[in-house]
Amino acid sequence: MKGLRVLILAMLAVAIVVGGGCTSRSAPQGFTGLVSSGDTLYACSTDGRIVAVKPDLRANGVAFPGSGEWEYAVTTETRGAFGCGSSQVAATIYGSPVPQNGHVCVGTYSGKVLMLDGESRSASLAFPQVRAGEWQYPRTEDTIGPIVGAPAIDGNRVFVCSSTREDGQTVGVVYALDLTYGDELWVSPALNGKLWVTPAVAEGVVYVTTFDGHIYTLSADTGDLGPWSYKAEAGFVSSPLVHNGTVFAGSFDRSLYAIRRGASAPQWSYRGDNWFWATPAVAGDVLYAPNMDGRLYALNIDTGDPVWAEPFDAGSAIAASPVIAGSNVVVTTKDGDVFVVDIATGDGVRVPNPESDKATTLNSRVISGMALHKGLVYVLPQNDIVSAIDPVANRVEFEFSLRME
Amino acid sequence: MANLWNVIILRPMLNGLVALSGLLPESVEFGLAIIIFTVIVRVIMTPVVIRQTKSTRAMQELQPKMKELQKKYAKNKQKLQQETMKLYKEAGVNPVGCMWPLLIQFPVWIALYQSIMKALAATPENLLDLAQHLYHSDLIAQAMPVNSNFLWLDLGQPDGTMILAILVGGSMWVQQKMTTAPSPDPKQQQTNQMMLMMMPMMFGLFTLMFPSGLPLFWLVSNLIGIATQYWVAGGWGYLKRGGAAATTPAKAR
Repeated sequence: MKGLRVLILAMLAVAIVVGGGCTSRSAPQGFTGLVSSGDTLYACSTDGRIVAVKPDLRANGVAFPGSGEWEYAVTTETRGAFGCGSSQVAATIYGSPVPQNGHVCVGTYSGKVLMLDGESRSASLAFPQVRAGEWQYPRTEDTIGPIVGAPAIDGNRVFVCSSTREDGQTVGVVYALDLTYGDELWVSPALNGKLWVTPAVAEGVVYVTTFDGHIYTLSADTGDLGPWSYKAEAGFVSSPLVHNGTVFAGSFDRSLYAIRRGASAPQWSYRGDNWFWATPAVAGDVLYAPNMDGRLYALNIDTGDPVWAEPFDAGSAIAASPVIAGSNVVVTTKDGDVFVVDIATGDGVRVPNPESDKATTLNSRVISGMALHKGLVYVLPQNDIVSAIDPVANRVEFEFSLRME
Repeated sequence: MANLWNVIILRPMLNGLVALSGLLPESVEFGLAIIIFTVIVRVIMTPVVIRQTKSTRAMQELQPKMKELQKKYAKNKQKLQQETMKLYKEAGVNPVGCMWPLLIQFPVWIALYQSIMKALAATPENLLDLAQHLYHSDLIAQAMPVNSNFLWLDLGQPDGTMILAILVGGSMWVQQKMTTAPSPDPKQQQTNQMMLMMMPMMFGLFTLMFPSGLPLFWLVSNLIGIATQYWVAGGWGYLKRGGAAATTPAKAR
């Protein structure tokens, strides 16, 4: 009997480890894209640091931080498993940093919005330097719900989406904050479903897509719900892209929808074999939409008709938005391959790994978008090693780590 | 191997769970789907569980005779082994008979754990991973993302109240108490008592740490276990009988 009990205990331990540890919700790691502004690239590392780097300095191997470079570690308070004790840990960030006039705005999964001033961060001054336009929202130790997605800046306002629990239900809330001081301008009514999106702002209207299948419009001035909203049968999985009055969004039903603002039915929809998770890129009248089925689709923006004879097949899921680089569209797979695809024909080539032809281009998964800077495409995989890719020469030019000592 | 596990066991179960939630009222869809799915799996496993329960009980009933043999042949281990095997044979009991049903059940429980956790997709990474596991079906597409709200719980987050932890720990204690025979050996009895308290406490603590979809599954599973035990043993077993059962074990139905 004793042996049997030991066996049962061992099995339970296995069940906890296998069933719980390996497969359950692993700790959120975060993923963010790179953003180019002026001569600087901004990114967030998976260990919660916001980093500003000068690609020219990185290409030459100058010691970090060089002139105008900086990093800032965002931390968040966490409580022990049973609510006892607290400690500061690296914040998790989903969504690219948003640069604006020498400042950078980010939202964290722990429910804080931060505005950082480049000069103050270069000088390693205490955060926030209010006179330099730095702030955090909420200002106190309070937090809002988790932010999954980037903030959007329009005029002198910052818009950010968050999800929270209200009366036993998960609801989405949009916040509008003052760009200079971080003051709360308005908070939207509670919207049904999670808001794991980056809001889109166009012509004084804020657009958000929700997990329960709504597209909501809100007044950028007041936060009031607009007269038009759209309800799809399935939930939306991607952030909205607004282009010339049409909203494009990927749905859990594996379709990409184009819905004109004010319309009660989609203008067109296009079905892939999996989710259109990433926001498409637009060039001219063509939408380049990556899909988790591993294909990049080129669709006419007005009709949804395929432009290429066949979609480009990258071989494994694509979770990051593509980037248009001249006559090419560059796309990355979740497994870490990078492809340069001709935007006219849809023919593509894989960028080889500098060390091994058999390995994927990058040595880590790629979930978030890329940045184009001076003709090079910068990719940030989950190992925090940025690769600079020349899409014309089809090679990795240089690499640098965001985890600089 | 991992791929084989995913294709044969995990994906069918995960997609079944999501599809089932798509057929249920939206406000309680996934919580109810977990309950129904757990019941279905438990019903399918009932013959195996009953066999295991009977086997365990038969082993417990042989304990007094085993003690006698141990006393009688304390100095002759070979003889003790022979007599023990003879006793098992006469009683028609396979000493490892209660292990096989456990082994058969385990992959099913692990897959069910995994399915629940994957379907809940509590973090963006989990949701991204889920995309690779879903079948192409309109029913599944319509059911996504699953509604993680159920009663007072967010099934994707640990329960902040103690309610679920108490329910899980309490139901596990009852289930164990029903089957744990008091032992005449004080040492063994002490071990039994410790086990009786340790496991419910452990799972109670896990409940505070894991997304509550998983403890909900544990709770339902425990309740079904109690019902099955009640039916097989024809009553509350050692929960009511306490110490008296050590000398007069209940007859299996």
